[in-house]
Amino acid sequence: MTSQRPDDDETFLRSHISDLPQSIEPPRNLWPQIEARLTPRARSRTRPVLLRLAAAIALVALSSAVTWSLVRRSGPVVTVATAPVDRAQLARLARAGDVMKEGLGSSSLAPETRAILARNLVVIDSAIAESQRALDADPGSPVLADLLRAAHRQRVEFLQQAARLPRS
Amino acid sequence: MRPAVLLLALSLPVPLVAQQRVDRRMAVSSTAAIRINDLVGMVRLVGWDRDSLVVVGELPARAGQLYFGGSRDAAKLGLEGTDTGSVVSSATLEVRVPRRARVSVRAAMVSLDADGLEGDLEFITTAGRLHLEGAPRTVTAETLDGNVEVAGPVASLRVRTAGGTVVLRGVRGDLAVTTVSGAILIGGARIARARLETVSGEIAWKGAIERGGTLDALTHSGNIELRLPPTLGADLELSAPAGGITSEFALRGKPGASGTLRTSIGDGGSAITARTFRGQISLIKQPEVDTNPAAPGGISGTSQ
Repeated sequence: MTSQRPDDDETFLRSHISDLPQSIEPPRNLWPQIEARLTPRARSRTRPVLLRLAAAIALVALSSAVTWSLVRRSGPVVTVATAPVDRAQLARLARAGDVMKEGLGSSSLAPETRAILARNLVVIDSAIAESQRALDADPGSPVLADLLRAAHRQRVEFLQQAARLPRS
Repeated sequence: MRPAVLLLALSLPVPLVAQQRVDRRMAVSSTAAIRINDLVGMVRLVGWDRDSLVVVGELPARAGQLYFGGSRDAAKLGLEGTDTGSVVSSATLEVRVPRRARVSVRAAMVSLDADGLEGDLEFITTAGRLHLEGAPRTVTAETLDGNVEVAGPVASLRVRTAGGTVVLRGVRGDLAVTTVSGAILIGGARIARARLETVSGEIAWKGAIERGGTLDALTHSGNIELRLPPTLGADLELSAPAGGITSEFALRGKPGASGTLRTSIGDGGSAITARTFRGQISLIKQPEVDTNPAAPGGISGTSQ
């Protein structure tokens, strides 16, 4: 990140764009687990249409339920909370993310979309793991709890976005 | 001679795929709801002063067939029968809609350039990109892997992408941007409320915040750079437990045991929160950022 003062907005933005990496390699240690959990189980090609429809409806309902649950239990998402660590809330958020991911695993997403999802879940899960380790080392830190809560929420919101994608 | 002629004929360049010309029109109301589904390739979306919906352009055969229809208040167009096994990048379509129309674009992969819109725009795609100029009332853009660039005083803007970069210029009002690894780069902004979140991307902000407004920037491992007017009054809450904080503004106090620094600059009034686990937070004085909310908008409207 440069600290020099650019002449105008365009220069400012371009200077940052040129600094961006062309690609980001996810940490290898988490990848096999994520990939294995995202890869759909072998299933018949003649999967009934009604089953797919039911899965889509269930996913939408699940997404709505998770959203409602988050809003009801967490309050407005823009709130900057530095409240004491609420492990029950963290567990609920983690569970909500897992349920969403499970739902997406049985939906009709294209392989390319699944790959994008997996790549980004690695990034989010790395952040969650790192925040969790930091919180374990300093269990009373409201800032670390806040960051961990935010990472879990970002994971749920990312999966909700995936559930809204157009099906190919 | 025949083999030679045949060889010559085969060596001549011929179009690989037949292009079909598209030209469809219908009357719609000035605030019609228009749904655009499953387009591919390059699409230009233009808001114009006529109460009509027009689609013109070229489609390769692999792009499928265009459907087009509806009523004055609700119209729908899109492609069906697209060969999803191949990337159809040679399709080029221009869609003209009334300026104040409410437009929804949904597609797996489309490159959308939009301008002249003053109504609502929703753009949801898997790997498409959006480039928007102008001032729609509201914009909602979601893409998993595409970049989003918006230039203009959009009053309410929601952007969500995973790996894409988000570049915003001259935005106003209410702003929410979320990415996973994509950078969030904002220039010439003047907002009442902004929420910027990414997991591993950087956040770079250059702009003003209205008095009483809020700016909330969160990233796990990226840096946060905030270029702010020297005269800005704001209450700050800065957290960088494993990173650091630098500031050209005089900051009173030190981070507490929780790793958060709470302080004020100027006479307060706005609220700025910046949180990064591993990144650096930099506060930089940016003299040319205009704090006068009545100043003209636009991309360069905040520069003096």
